[in-house]
Order: sequence, then structure tokens, then C-alpha cells
Amino acid sequence: MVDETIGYREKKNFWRWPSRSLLPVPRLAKREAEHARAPDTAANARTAGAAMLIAFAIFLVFESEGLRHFTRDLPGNAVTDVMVEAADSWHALMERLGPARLQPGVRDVFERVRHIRW
Amino acid sequence: MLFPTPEFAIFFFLVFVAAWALREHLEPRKALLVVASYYFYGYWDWRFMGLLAGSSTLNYIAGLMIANSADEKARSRIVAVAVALNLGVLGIFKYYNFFMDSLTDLTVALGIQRDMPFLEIILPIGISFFTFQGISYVVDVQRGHIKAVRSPLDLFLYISFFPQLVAGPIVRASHFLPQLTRKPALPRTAVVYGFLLILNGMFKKVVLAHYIATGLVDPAFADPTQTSSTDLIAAHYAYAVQVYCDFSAYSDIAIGAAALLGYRFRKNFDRPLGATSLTQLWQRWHISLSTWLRDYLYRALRGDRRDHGVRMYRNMFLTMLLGGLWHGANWTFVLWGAIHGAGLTAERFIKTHWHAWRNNRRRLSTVGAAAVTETLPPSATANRVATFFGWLITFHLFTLAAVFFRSPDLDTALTYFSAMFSFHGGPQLLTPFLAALTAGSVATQFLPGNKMERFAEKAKDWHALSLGLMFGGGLLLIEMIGPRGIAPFIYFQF
Amino acid sequence: MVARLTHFAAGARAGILILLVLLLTAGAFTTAQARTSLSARSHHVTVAVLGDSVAHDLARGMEALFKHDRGVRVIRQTKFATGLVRTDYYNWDAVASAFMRLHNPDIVVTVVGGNDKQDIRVHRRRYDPLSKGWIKQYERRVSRFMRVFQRDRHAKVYWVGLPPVRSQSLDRAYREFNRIFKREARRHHFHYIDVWKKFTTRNGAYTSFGHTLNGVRRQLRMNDGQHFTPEGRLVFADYVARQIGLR
Repeated sequence: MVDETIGYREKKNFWRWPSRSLLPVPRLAKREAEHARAPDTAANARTAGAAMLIAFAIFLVFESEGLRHFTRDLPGNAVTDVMVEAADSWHALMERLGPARLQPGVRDVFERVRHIRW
Repeated sequence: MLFPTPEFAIFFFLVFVAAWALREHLEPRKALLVVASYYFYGYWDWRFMGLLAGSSTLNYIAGLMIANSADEKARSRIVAVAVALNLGVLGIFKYYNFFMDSLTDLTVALGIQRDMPFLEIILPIGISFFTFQGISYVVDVQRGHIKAVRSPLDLFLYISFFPQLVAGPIVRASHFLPQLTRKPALPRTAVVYGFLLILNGMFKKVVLAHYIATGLVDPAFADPTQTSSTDLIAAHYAYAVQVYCDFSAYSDIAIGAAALLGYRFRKNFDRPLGATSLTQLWQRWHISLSTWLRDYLYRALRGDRRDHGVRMYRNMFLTMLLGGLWHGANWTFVLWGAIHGAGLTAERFIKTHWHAWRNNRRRLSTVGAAAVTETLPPSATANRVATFFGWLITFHLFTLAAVFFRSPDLDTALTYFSAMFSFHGGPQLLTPFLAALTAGSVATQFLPGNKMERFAEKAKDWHALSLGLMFGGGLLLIEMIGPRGIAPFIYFQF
Repeated sequence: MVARLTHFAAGARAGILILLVLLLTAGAFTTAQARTSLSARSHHVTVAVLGDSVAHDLARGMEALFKHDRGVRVIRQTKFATGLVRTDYYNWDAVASAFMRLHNPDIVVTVVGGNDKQDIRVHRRRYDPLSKGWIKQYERRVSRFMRVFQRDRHAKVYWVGLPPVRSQSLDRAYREFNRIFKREARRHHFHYIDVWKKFTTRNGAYTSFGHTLNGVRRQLRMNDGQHFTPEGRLVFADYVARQIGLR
């Protein structure tokens, strides 16, 4: 904590990843190229946004029960009433088709591992 | 708003979309982030928002006043007032009732028991973190490390930026403010790295910290007298792992979320449980706090001169003691800080004197010219053994001191130790699963530190679909095996 | 690195010194918590505590209180963030009846309702918290939960009312909940324990502070204005234990 050798001032290379000076600087940090190229931020933001939407979709399909709880957590009004109902029928559909049954299955296996005794 | 909740997921997605839509418009983008941050904070209690705004205003004005003043003495005085006000607010909110409680102890011991004037104070979440950021800004302006910001928006965003607002990392003005003047950019590696950090943080919080806490640590500390020694020994290791997982998880998610919004935060934890000395441990544990303490507290204690001898040891010790006290108004934290302070000073003392002694011996032996072997550097094996013992001692000092950190009072901590060292009873709470989680978490501390960056580099050309499947699939798995309902992060209380 | 720091440094040093002196003086006089010793009883009494996080506080307090008493065994079935409204999330009726079958306790103490200020949804209908319809539905749920214990003819059941909380809207709701609990407890021939006044000021307002078992005024409620500190848990548990006749 009191080692004066580690300065905290801004390093010259802005694109340096958050990493301590004690460690070898990650390879990635040395990549001037990307910075020089100026990343295509708009495209990358779109990619990241799309990836997040896909993640949401995965949750909608496989965690439809969580969606039911979530809609019930919302303050009650005409809109959330519709959402609650939609979530209920969505969950019923997912149960029928199968994806909603994955969660209990995975959990079962996990719980079995968790309760193994010596 | 807690990170591992659907509310935060939706909130973050909306902020992400809006922030990148406003990429070309710097000021509106900052305004958006400030509004989002205040919403995030006000979600707990809207009254706290006033305090946050007040703190930001105070530091903004102080910064400008320092910048406009040419007289060195006047500048110092402004800093002193600003720091005192910052600490005053922190002191009242966090320590007032603690002092009253300690005074109660005193009056009871002296037999003149009085009811103390406790105040009904609500502790605002994250107050230590934004206070520390404010202080670092004002002092850095005075020290000339950064220029005072003219735009209040910049400073408000610096103090309130939601990823780091409630539990760190403590971002430095000199690191963050320059980022606000540039047009934000989002390299593809930052996207992947952000997702990976969030996944890693979620796993550590929701799976590791949770199961270790509920299965082993909580029951063991609830009643150490009814717990077997084996379980107590395991639980004291497990607690160190739990705090690490919990706290570093928050930092990971914060750094990841900021990266996705186009901002860089420094690493806050760097495999601290693998440290081979106490000095190294504090360079790797909660780095933003230990460097903060070094730059502002230790330097303040030291003054302008370089430190050596007794003064240096005293200042090192005091820094750790106060660092302990920062964690909370409780004697257990003070003792925890004292243990680490004593450990650090002892380590520094031994190292200094050991080096001096060895150099002396070398000089003598080369003069004698007889013992050539003496001048040879220690063998690789000897080095490895020394490193191993260094780790062993550091690790155990950390885990043993953490018992004080976890115990609600000193009494419980002492009971815990006496029960732990009574060596009776086999594992009751400790299951193979919990043992594997604990040991596995410690083992990861010895992996290369830039594993994730390397993976991000490799995966940067992945298609959005693959990225989404990785991110969503990972989160889904965590959600499936995690518990329903998440306990708040440990560091929220500090 | 050459900036002068004299004022800041001197101020900080003086402040730290005062802080430390205060702390260390107080610390030197810190008294160990007085333990309450209890006469050992010849018979085991199993006390089961069920409910939400408030019940958890009560159970922890009881455990600490009867730590050295071989006559009383405390077991608990508590789950954070649960109640009688959100059966989709956690079904207390099912949990409680399984628990009773498994443990067959002599005394049952329940605290629930802390998280129940929520809409009740039944058959596509939503009842706003504390509306007429809501109260009717809630009474029905409380009654259903109570019947689980009634079926067990062996256990004596104590229903503990909710303590006051800092949040005013929640506080108002809890008063109403307690009225329901009291009414329903009487109907089911359970004992209702009112803890409200134990944790208020003289004017009946919420306070975080109060007298511990040693008669010293300290913080009894956590900073969240809802849960109990270790000291507060003891006060809570002691009060309930006295009402039950365990102390």
C-alpha cells in the first residue's frame, strides 16, 4: 500500500486495459493498431446491443417462470395486468413445448451435486 | 437497484442504447448518464439524491476556487475546508452513532451510565465511495495532477456514474475526467471483455459467494460453539473467499458495464488470494482503495518529506488502522486494521533488515574470497520454497484476520477462535461441493491474470449471434443454478 | 508531487489523532456482553420459528438467548423475501406442513407479512394492497396458513405481530396487517404476541434505539430501518420468550 513505485497517473496509452503495473501488460493492451484504426463504434455498439437482445430472448424462452415472477413484482396497473396474463400464458406455452422444463432439470442435477456427502 | 436483477438488466440496456445513440453529442450524452445515475441511486431512497448532488456541488465549487486562486496558502486552505466538509458529512452519517455507542461503553465501565443522544440517521448507500472520489478530485486539483473541471456536468457524472457509485471501484478524477472530453469509442474487444467481466462477476456473486455464505460461513459464525472445528477451519477460509468473490464481483460488473458504455476503469482486484507478501496483497486487494489510502491518507500523514524509520512504520500502521475503521464503525474492524498494520510493518522491517544483513554478509565473504558459494544467488528451489511460505503466511494472516472482519463483536470472534483451535469434530457443514468451491476459487488466483483479456482478443471477431449465445447462455446457467432472490453485496454497507 | 500539503496534512493528522484517542479510550473500557445464564431444564422443549427475515432475526435472537440452556432447543425455517401474498414465489403452506411433519415441535412461533404489501392476484383479478378485496383475500391466506398448524394438535402456536419500521407507508401497512393477524389468531385459538410498543418511542413512533437486556440504550434496529441488530435480536427474542413463558 505504501509502495511509492507504483504511480497512478494516467498512462500514455489510453487503450491500456485496466491492469496493474506489477503484471505483464496484456497483449491486447499493446495493440495500437485498433486505436489507430479508430474502432467502428457504431457497428460494435449495434453488435453488443444485438447480443444483449439475444440474451434477453434466451431468458424469455428458458426462464419463462422468472418472467412470471418479474411481471408480478411490477406495480399493478392496467398495463402490468396484461403483462402478467401474457407472461402466464407464455410460461404455459414454454412448459408445453419444453424449454421451461430445462431449468428444473439442471437444478436437479446441481442440487444432487450440492448435497453429496463425504 | 442491484446488479443481478432483471430491473438492472432492462435499465442498463435502455441506457446503453440511448448512450450510443447520442454518441455524436457529448453533452447530451453526459446529461443522460447523470440522469440515469441519479435514477439508479434514487431507486433505493430518493432522499439520498440530494446528498449526492450536494457533495458534487461542494467539490465542483472547491475545484474552481482552487483553480482561480494563485496563492498557495489560500489553495491549501480551500482544500482543507473541502476535505473537512467531505469527511464531516461522512463522519456524521457513518460514525456519529458509533461514537455514541463507544461513549456508552465508557460510561458503563465507569459506572456513570447515561443514555446517549443517538440520532436517527439513515446511512446513504455508497457514501464512502463518493466522498472518497470527491476528496481525490479536490486534492488532485491542488496537487496539479488535473485541471479543475469547468463543466458541472463532468463533475456530476464523475461522482455519480452508476456502475461505480455504490460499491466502487473508487475512480480517480485524473483517470476518468479526460475520458469525458473525448468522443466515446467502443472497440470490439471492449464489448467482449465487458460481457466476460459481467459473466464472471455474476458467477462469483450469485453462485460462489452465495453458496459458500449460506452453506458454511453464516451457520458457522452464527454459533461457533455448536460447530465442529473442521467446519470452523473450513468456514474461516471460505469467508475470505466469500468476501473476495462478493466484492470483486461488484467491481467486475462495474468495470464491465462501464466498458460497454465506452469508459475504462482500472482493475480493482488482481488475484489477491495468491499474494506472496502482505505488501503484494494490498497491491492486489481493492486496489482503488489501497492506492487511495496511499495517496491521500498516507501522504497526508507523512507530509512532504520522504519517510523512514519509526515514522514510516507508524504511518503505515495508522493507514491500515484507519483503513480498517473505514469498513465500519465496529471494534472488530479496528482490530482487523491493526492486525494488517502490524503485519505490514513487521514485514517491511524484516525485509529491510534481512536485506541489509545479507548484503553485509556477501560483502564480507567476497572480501574473504574463500566462500564463493556465498555470493551465488539463491537457487530456484530455494526461491520457490520462500515464495510458497510467503504465500502460506500471507494467506493465513488474511483468512485469520477475516474472522474479526466477519464477527459482529469481539466476543464472537474470540469464541470462534477458541472453538476452532479445540480440534474436535468432523465436517458437518462442509460438503465436497463447498470444499471444491472454496479450494477452486483459491486455485484460480494462480492462473495468469490476463486470461480474460486474451479470450476477449480471440473472440473479438465473433458474430453477434455467438456473442449473444455466450452471454445469454452463461447468464442463464448462472440463473438456473443460483438461488431465488439475491442478498445485497457485502460492500454496500461500507 | 511537489505540491505543498502542509495545511491538509496538519489538519488530517490532528483529526486522526483525536479520532484515535477517542476510539482507544472508549475501547479500553468496552465491556463484554453480559451473558444471560438460565437454569437448565430437565425436559427438552423444541421451539420452531417460521417466517420471513424478521422471523430470522427472532430465531437468531432465540438461539443466542438459549445457547446455554439445555432445556430449550430452537429450530428455524426462515426464508428472506417471502410471505403469504406471493405464492408463485414461495408457498408457505406447503413448506410449513412439511416442516411440522418432519420436526413435530412443541412450540411454534411465526412471523410473516413483512413482504406482503403487494398486489394479490387471483384468477386474473388484481387487488391493490390494503383495499377491501385485498384484505379479504389476505385474511383467507392467513387463515389457510394458520390451519396448517391447527392440524397439528400437539404444538402450541404463537403468532408474533410485525414490529414497527422506519418507512411510513410500510409502517401503516404493518399496523393493518397486525390487526388482521390478531383477529385471525383469536379465531384459530392461537396466542397473538404484540411487539409493536416494545420498539417505538413514547409517542408511538419508530425508533432504531432502545434499551438492551442490560438496560443500556443502544441501536436495536439495523440501518435499513427494518431488521434487528444483534442486540436488538436479543431484546426481540427475550420479549417473545417471556410472553411464551420460556423465561
